[in-house]
Amino acid sequence: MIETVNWIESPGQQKRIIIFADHFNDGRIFSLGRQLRIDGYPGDLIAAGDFLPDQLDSLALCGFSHYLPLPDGTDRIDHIDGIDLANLVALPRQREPGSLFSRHDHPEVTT
Amino acid sequence: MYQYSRTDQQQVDQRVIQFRDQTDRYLKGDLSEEQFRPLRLMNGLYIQRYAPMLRIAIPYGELNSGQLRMLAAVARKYDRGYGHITTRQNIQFNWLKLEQVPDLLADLATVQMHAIQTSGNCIRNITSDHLAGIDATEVEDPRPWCEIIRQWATLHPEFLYLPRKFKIAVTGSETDRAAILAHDIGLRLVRNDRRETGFQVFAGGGLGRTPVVGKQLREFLPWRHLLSFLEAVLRVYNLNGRRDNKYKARIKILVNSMGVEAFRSAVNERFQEIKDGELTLTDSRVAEIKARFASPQSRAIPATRKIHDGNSGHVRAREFEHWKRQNTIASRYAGLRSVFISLKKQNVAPGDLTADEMDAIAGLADRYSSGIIRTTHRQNLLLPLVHTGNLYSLWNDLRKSGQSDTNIDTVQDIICCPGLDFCSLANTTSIPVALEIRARFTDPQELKSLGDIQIKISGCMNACGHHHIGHIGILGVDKKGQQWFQITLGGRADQNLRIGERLGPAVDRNRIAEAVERIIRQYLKLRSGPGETFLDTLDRVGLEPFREVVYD
Repeated sequence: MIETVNWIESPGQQKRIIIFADHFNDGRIFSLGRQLRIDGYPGDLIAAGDFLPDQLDSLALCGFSHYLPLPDGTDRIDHIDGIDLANLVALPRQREPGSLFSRHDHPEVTT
Repeated sequence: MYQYSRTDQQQVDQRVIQFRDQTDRYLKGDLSEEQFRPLRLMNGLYIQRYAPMLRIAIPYGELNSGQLRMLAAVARKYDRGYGHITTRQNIQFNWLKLEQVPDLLADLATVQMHAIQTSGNCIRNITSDHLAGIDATEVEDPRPWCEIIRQWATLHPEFLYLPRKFKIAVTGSETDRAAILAHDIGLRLVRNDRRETGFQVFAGGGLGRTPVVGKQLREFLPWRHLLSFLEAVLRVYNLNGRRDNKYKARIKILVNSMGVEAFRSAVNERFQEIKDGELTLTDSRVAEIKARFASPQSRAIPATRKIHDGNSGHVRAREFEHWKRQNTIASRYAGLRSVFISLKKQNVAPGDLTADEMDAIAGLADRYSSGIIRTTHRQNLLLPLVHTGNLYSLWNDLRKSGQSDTNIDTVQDIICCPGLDFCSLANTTSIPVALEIRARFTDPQELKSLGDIQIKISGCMNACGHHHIGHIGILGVDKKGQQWFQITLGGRADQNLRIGERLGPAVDRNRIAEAVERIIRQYLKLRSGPGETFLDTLDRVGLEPFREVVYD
């Protein structure tokens, strides 16, 4: 199951969005993140769930700014209030999803 | 053949390091079986009935002699001395040790090979027409477009955890030899009224438990928007495909449940958002990719010997002419023919070849076809361009190494899944059934007379042997521990792709080969003349006359 929560800590603060994924294998989260960025969402975007370290690059490439590790079975609601971004895993900011194709700007034939 | 860039090589090398780390973590217990499963699968590693099986990518079915020699070395070093060519143009090894797979991948990376996305719920190896760039009738060589899609799809961060596997096939010809209508996305290169190149796009085709013929999404997609459109299709599928039931998770189910109009509309909405964005292809980008494919004609090896040597007898010359007619085909280049090497030998599983055979074929490729070999959808090999003056010499060499079986596009050219002999999903054997059928049709004159009757065998509903689209399809089913086989007739895998119709109740294991023989002999009786094909006869007379001989 995927659940998206719009989250505003206090009036005037920039909106933050957190997307919970019940299972690390639920790939919808990658498209949801990407779609939000295509739609022009500029703010913090948090992926919450029990992801593998191997998946964090893909989350970053799909537009997520932070990762909130949640072991399976953790009550999500408890984690919305009082989240301090400083305590989350910061993901490197990416320009665009980096398929190999878009990284072929200066190809050279190997010899 | 495509020449790797530095980026390509780096990515393959990095993938080896990554998979070695993942395997180490699994073996140490830091990754659970559930966590490791998608990681190993998207790297082509299955846990099969007896041992891990690794599927190695042969992008759009093209490899060079050095790569084939490496596959031979892999077969000897890590496996039991042979490999298996699949219906999607890849190669599988069935007897590996998990802990050795990272070393195997490191060896492969030295010759620009890998196992990336040959399995798992991601975009699989792109397949194409084995006559790509050779067929005189094609609009354009599809291989550079396959390569462009490969680069886009490889480790695409958004599409590594799809609801289910995703297969794309591309053809540049009106004659479809890549079964594009049986793929999640099928692409055909076309030209519009203004002679501009683009793609006819189909989606939602597939076999498996629910066979569906792909539906047209676009009659003409300008080539510049190829990747943006593919990305839009994948995004709609990733967000909306079912994840609660793996048998309902393929895109064909989504297209059917939404209806093709609604699906097309959803795709177009996503497409409009990203059209003209960073995925838009440019002339220079496409030209770069095309430049990495050496012109096949310029590399063809000139004839060095006469067509017949002075010692060839009459019988031998006749054998050669028969082989030339059956196993070679004209190319778009004058004086050059494409040569099939059959992997349908007596008493050998369809698609299997030994390490020694791989080495021998690599040598022949060097000698006769500029070191290039292709794998085909029908589980054979192809030397793409051979000078006609070298054909006799090549045939002699093939005879000496036992690889001159003259049965391409005959009833012996059976497609078959690994079945119960290897696969943990299978209900029945399929390889022994193929061998039994083949043994009933061995007379060369009879094979020639029968024409191209395509028999396809699957050992379970997952349909890896493509039984739905065989002229004669055979599906193995389990009934209370006993092996039974359902027969379908009239399927076809070409541009007029259709699903075969079930003949009647399943027949038992002891009768299946005989039942197929009876169907074929009935065709011989019923056909209006030697020019009427099996499918033509079937379309004319219907199923009933065939039912009569199977269920008498």
